[in-house]
Amino acid sequence: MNCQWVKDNLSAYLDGEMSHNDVVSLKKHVEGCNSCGYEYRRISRAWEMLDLWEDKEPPAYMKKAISLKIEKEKTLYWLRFLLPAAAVLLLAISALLFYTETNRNDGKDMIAKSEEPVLNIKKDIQEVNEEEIISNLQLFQEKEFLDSFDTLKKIDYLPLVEEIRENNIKDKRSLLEFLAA
Amino acid sequence: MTDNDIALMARIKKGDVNAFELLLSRHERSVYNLAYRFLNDEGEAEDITQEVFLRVYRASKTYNPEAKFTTWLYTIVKNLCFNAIRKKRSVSVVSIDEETMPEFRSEDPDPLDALSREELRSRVIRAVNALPENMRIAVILQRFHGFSTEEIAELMGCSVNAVKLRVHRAKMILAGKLGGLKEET
Amino acid sequence: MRKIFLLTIFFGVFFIQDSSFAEDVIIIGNRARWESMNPEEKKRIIEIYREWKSGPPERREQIKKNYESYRELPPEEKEKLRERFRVYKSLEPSGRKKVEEKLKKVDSLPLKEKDEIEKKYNKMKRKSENEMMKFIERSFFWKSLNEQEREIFRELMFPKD
Repeated sequence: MNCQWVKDNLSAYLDGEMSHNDVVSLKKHVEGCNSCGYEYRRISRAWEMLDLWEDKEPPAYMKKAISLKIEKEKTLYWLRFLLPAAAVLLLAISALLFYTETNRNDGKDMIAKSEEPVLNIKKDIQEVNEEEIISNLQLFQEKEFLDSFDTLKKIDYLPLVEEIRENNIKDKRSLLEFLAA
Repeated sequence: MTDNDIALMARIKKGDVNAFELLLSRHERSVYNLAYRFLNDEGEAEDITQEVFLRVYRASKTYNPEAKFTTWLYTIVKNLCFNAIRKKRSVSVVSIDEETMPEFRSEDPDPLDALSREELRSRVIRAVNALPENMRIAVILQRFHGFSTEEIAELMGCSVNAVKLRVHRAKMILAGKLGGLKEET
Repeated sequence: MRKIFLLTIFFGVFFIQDSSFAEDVIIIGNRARWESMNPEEKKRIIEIYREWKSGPPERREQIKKNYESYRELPPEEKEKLRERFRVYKSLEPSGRKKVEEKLKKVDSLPLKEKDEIEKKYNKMKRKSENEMMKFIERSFFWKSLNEQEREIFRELMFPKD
């Protein structure tokens, strides 16, 4: 058993994928060899550190959104198979329009159902175009970031701006060399 | 677990809405987290989770349990995640895969340079995100979802040895980036 | 004739399902998200909406465009911009002013030069952070900064490092 073999198998050892005999020999080697011991600690520490990336809770509305999509899918599924081929096109359009409308109303109904929290801002909602808010919701949730988006992107260009503007051949060469490398 | 999932799929096939909700509750969090860790984007993870369950619902009509349910489910997640990455990759940007990934040069961060938990967490995320896609998905599936090497191989459509090699190489890269860091005491 | 008729029906159904359906799906998700918000969150969004609505239409379009551009970015770029935003937000007003002053140079460039820079930046992105930092340190831009400014830009360019 040499250092190279140990280093190649540290990963399998950490995953518990080695035979008992190999585990015993590897352990013995790692305890007595500084270089392999250091490698072992580095790998196992990095692997353990992944615990810091905890699970994220999916958003509460996701189940509801999926169910709504499935409902829509079901409607489309039956439309596709129940109606005679020629009528499908016409009926699908009207059903889809009808369904979209119902859905819109459903949305309003749902707001009405949970009256308690909505009542406080009912007036606010009446004064604005709620549909527009819903269509662009991500935009409003991220507005502060999106406002600065241009600025944030342009920061990367700064070193290049100066380089292009300056007419210094020597340093311009360094840019060309850098990009060609 | 698997038998229950397959039984639920059979109920969904018959139009049982509760069965679908049950299946959704069992796997929503895990599917969402796989997509979130792989893409590092909450919005996209949401979109993909919704699309995955829509596909599961669609497939329930013809679902035939040939593989373990979770392997089948995560294959859908993996494919959608890879599609999302492919869509974004602009033609001009060179793809970094395992073969062209440059050898990692350890910067030997000072172990005495203790970092806050939040900073360490952020470094972990960045280190995992910097892994090539095939290594990244293998690491996430093994480390966070408890998948065995064999299951990952089936899901990825490659050999068990290829998965072992990917995970091994990923560990070496991660060790170089994270192995020398430590938390504030 | 029969074939044409059948194809028309097929593509008609396909089109209805896949175009308007895809748009609807986003709205459904948003609606569910909106409904799950508590009154405070809704109030906050309504305020942002009002402010957005009262702004000039060009600005509104720009923000929409920014959102689309952000969505198209690869994850590591997204992460970098998010981190950069965190650093940018934490800057003192004087620090932000310094950044904005420097950025005026980018704004004042003619379109052709802006394109050139973008192309060069896309090439530069492929380099490692170490190589990039070395290049930046050699650049005129870097040489023109004082120590305090360098500190700010180092953090903005490589947040978290």
